[in-house]
Formats: sequence, structure tokens, C-alpha cells
Amino acid sequence: MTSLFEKILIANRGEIAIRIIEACQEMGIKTIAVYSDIDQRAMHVSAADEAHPLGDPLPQNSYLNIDKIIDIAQANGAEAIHPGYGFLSENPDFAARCLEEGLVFIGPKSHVIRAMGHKIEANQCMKEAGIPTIPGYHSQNTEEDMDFLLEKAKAIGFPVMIKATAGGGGRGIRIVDQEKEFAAAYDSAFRETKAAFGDGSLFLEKYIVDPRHIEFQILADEYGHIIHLFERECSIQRRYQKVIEETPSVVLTPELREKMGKVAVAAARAAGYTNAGTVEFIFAPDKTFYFLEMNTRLQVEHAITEATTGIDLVKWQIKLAAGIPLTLKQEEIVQRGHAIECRIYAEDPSREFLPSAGRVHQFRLNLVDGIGIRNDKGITSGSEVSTYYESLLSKLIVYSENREESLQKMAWALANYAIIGVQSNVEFLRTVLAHEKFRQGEYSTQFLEKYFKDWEPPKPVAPPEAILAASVYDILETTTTNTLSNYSNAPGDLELGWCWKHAGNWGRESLTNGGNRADGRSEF
Amino acid sequence: MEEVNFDDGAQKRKVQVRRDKDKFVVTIDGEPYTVQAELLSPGELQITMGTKVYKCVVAQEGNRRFVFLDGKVYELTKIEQTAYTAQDLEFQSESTSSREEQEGDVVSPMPGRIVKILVEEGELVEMGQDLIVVEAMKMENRIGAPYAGRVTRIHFQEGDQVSHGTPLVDLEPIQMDLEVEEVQN
Repeated sequence: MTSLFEKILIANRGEIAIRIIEACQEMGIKTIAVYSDIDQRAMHVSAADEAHPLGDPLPQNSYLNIDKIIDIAQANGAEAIHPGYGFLSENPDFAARCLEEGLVFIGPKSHVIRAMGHKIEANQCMKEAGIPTIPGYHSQNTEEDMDFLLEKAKAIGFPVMIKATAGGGGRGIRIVDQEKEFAAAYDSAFRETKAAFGDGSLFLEKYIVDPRHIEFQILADEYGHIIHLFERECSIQRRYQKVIEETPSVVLTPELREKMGKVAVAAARAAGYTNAGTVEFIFAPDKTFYFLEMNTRLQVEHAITEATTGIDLVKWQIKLAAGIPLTLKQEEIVQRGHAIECRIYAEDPSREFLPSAGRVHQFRLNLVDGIGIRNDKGITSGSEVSTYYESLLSKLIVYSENREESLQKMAWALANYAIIGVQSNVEFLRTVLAHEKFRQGEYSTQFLEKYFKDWEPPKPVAPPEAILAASVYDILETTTTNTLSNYSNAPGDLELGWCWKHAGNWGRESLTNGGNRADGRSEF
Repeated sequence: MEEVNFDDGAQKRKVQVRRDKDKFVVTIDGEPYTVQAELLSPGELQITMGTKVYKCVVAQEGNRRFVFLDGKVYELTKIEQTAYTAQDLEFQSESTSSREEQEGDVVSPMPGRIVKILVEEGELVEMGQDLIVVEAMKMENRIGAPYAGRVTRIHFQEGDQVSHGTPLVDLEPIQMDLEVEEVQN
């Protein structure tokens, strides 16, 4: 039996860094956090056993800085590095470098990441293995010119989709309905992918109208044992970013689920996959499905699979990376109940969902921790949200016996999700969940575009209860001399042009209150 | 007795607050409410109004108050009751809210980095024409001209970081007939 690691470095930040640190703590593994200058007070820094600075907050100088991260790992006795999602998680050079330096990269092998990250190569690999793929033009050549691709697009037939060969997170993707729109779309996609990845290679695919996005979770050990942990439906997307995910999908019959699961396992096998990964499928209205891509990392939405299968994916990632065989058997994996995740983003729905930055005055799920509620968070009251990194603040996951109850539970939990200081999409999520078509499960990846294109939060007249609260709050605040001032010296106050001087007079009031704090509310 | 006005963006309220031992008497637009209130933790307020007891989360930022209640965040702008008359308040509030949409400049709708400038100083642009591309969180956002006009000044260069609300381009509005004349010349 191979032994586990003593110490792991987590090369990430935010909610996922905390998720991984907590898994390590459970397993008795020491953790090293890394942080950029702007993250000095971030939650993941204090959660780990030790934390080391990465300096300049620009991603390429901090969380993408391979040399610095390797140095920190080696100087401090880490045996393995967990990359989380985003940042270095799908960087084959980083995985290879870890190996060279005698560190274990918690994820698949470098050459597998490279092959699956290269969409054209991945597609070719799947085609050869007999996995259904979308009709398209996939060249081995890089940065082909516009006229050439336009001819290929005409051959496939419009609508076509232009996609970046290197890519992810929806960047570099353009849908072209007609021939005359092709040139502008090509130009824009090229620039975006060149800027984001330093590689302007684009490819073409037939655009499937009203598809669903259904993916299968994979676990694979070093010894050829591969299983799937059923599907996640991630069709609720805005600008190709997932917003709401659920499992099981309402459109899969047991037969279809079994078939797709087998194809997913075959895809992972064809890729030579090890560790945790995800096979994404495009699911057409006629119930045909095509391989979309393989994500060679932990997914943001992994928690809904954990809820319905009872299997901890992060712990398995660590065990598999340590060379421990996968003891779970396919027939033992059972899908139970229904889980749904809402991604809480710092964005302003009234300003076209542009990122919102600033200090988060209040961040709390204002309810008693209920059965089946999980709030994976990367910030706390008083945290600073910058525009340097992704705008995901937290993930709210609920689990119930069935879909109907999950939706009710999610609506209830969101109604108690207080975020003050930055704009968030909480009200938007509540509105989407309440939509008749969503409730009926009749949706595709076009759902948000179709029904919520110009959605703006309603501006209701504040009820007297709110006015009362604002009025008396000031008096309770100013009549107290015992005001905590620990937020007033935080960096960034001056830049932002305002100060939040009062953390409230909690100390004094709670004393006079006879311990009213112990009201069961969860504050974080 | 303290007098204060709140504006929730939809409606203005005239509020008077009086503290009476452990109680507050709050009058909102002439309607009195007698309540008890206490802070349970920083920002967490419990209010007792007769048999109704409710909790909400409150934060302050300058003259703005944020109240989270029943799943919604209400943003209330506090206007101190000084020498202003009600009309002054209305005027002040309206002029503040419309400032961003004033003619003359195009501002960045978000903090980010300028990745492309698509126009030059002196150029005539049509309404909706793309002027500048700002990248934030790795997504490109095209900033278009809010009206037809002439670009009189570009404040930044490609690669510059900009914050929310920063003027990016000065745009001088042009009347349609004038524009036709210019083009003919």
C-alpha cells in the first residue's frame, strides 16, 4: 500500500483552495498556501498550515508563476502540488515540471493534459476510438487565415462555431449565423485567443441548435481501472460560463445514462487518463450526443456529484495521485437524490453582468445550517474583491430527495444569502430558478440568452421594515464608543475612495443581550 | 429627534427618529412605528415591532445604507436634513443620477485593461460604433459610442488599466445635418 503525502502545496486561491485545504486537513496532510500581494488577507491564507507570498497580483507573476511555486514547494518540503481549477491546472508544462523536480502533480499526466487541451488533437483521438464527435474542420496547422477557414465553414454549412484551439472558459468562441458575419467574428476570436493564450489557432464546428451540456465525472487510477460517477447537466450558461448545474439531468433515461457513462469511460481510456476528470458532451434535442472536450482537472461543479454519490472527489484525487488503487467499483456507484449548484459571482446584473469589485461588507448565509446545504466560499465579511481574478465568490449546493425539493431548498437558501458591498447575481439566480421552463426542466444552453437576455433586477420600493432598519442602525452605531476599527486600516480603502470604519458594536451589544448571539445563525 | 431623508432609487422618504429609553419611534412619511432594535453581531440587526420580530443585515458606505431583507438588498441613499427644501433634494438627486449619462464623455463601465482603441482623435463616429475594447476578468467588452459625434480626446493608450467610471473618450455630439455636411466636405 502506497502511503499518502505528508505535505501538499495548493497552487490556487479562493473557494477551491479552501476546499482542497479542508480535504487535506481531514486526511491529516499538512498544507501550504500561496498568495499574491492582494490576497494577503484572503481566507485561504489563514486556512492552510503555512502560507508563502507570490508577490505581484498579476496572474502571470503570481498564481501562474511556475518557477516561484516550484521553489516554494521544494523549499518547504511539499511532496505534491494540487492545482485546483483554472490557473495552472491544465498546463502540461507545469505538470511535466513537477515531475522533473520530484514533485507529484495531483492530476493526470502531462502528455494527457497536452493532448486533451489541444481540442483538435483531442477530437482526433476520440474519433479514432469510435467516440461520436461533432462534424467540423479540425486542422493540425496553426493560425490559418480567414479566407481558408471561411471556405471550410461554407462546406460545413452555417451556423458554424469558431473556437480557440487553446482555450477554456468560453474565450475565443464565436457563433456565426451567416457567411457575411464570418470575417468580423474571426478577427475578434483571433485577437481574444492570442491575447489570452499566446496562440491564435482557431477551428470550426457545426453549431448544434438548442443543445444541452451534459458531462460525466471520471475517476481513474494508475493501474487502468476507470469508473464514472454519473452525469452533471450544466446547460444554464451565460457567455459560455456555467451558472447553474444539476444532477441527475432530467433528459437522461437509465438506458441513455448507462450508454453515455460507458462512452465517457471509453473516452477516458482512449486518452490514457488517470486521476479525476470530466468528459463533456453536447446533447442534441434528438438525444444524439457528441464528445465536446475532456476537462483534465477538478470541475467547479464537482460538489453536486459528491452530494449524489457520497464520494469525496478531492480526497480521491489525492489518493490516486499517491498511487493508491481505485477501490470503488462501477456497480457500487449509486446516484441518489438530486443536487443543484448555483455559482455566486461578483457581477452587476443591472450593468450587463460586468464584474463588480470592492469590499464585501457583509457575506453570510443567514440561516441555520440545514440538511443538504453546502456553501463553498472563498470570501468572508470584510474581504476585498479585486478584478485580477475570476469573479466567483462562492458556490451554493443543495441536496434533496428529488428535483422539486432541491429547487425549493435552493430558493429558500438563496433568499437568505446576504452579500452587501459588491453586486452579486443572487437575485438573478432566484429569478432563473423560478422560471416556469426551468422548473419543468425544459431548457438548453440557450436558455439564459432566450429568456433573460435583457434581464434587469427590479427596483422595488423599499418596505418600511428596511427604512426602519437603516434609520435605527445609524443611531445604534454612533451611540457606541466601543466601535471595532479593525477594518479601517486595510489596504485599498484610499484607492477605492471610501472607508468602512465601523464593523459594528457587536462586543458591547452582545453582552447586554444576554447571549442572544447563540441563535443558531451561521455567520461567516 | 433626528430628521433624515432616504432615497431608495424609486422613492424618497422623509424619516424622523426619536429614541425613547429602549425604544425607537420612527416616523416614515408621517406614519409612526415604535420598535426595539439591537445589533446581534456586526451588521446584524434584530428589530421588534409589536409581535413581529425580524432580522436584517445592514452595512454603510459613505451616505449609502444597504439593507438585506427577505432576499433583497435595498440601497438607500441618506440625505441629511439641512437647509435643503424638498425640491432641492429632488433636484440634487436627479442631477446626481444622470451625471454618468451626460453628453461629452464615454466612461469605462468596469475596472479593467484597455486592449484595443478602435478610433482616432478627430474621427467622426456613428451611434453604436465601437470605440474601445476593455478587458476585465479575461473577457472583452466593447465600448460603443452612445451617440454620433466627433472624438475630441482619447484619455488612454492600449495596455492602460482603468477603473470604473473613468472617462475614456471625449465625444462631441454632432447633429445629423451637420454630420452629412462634414462627410460631403
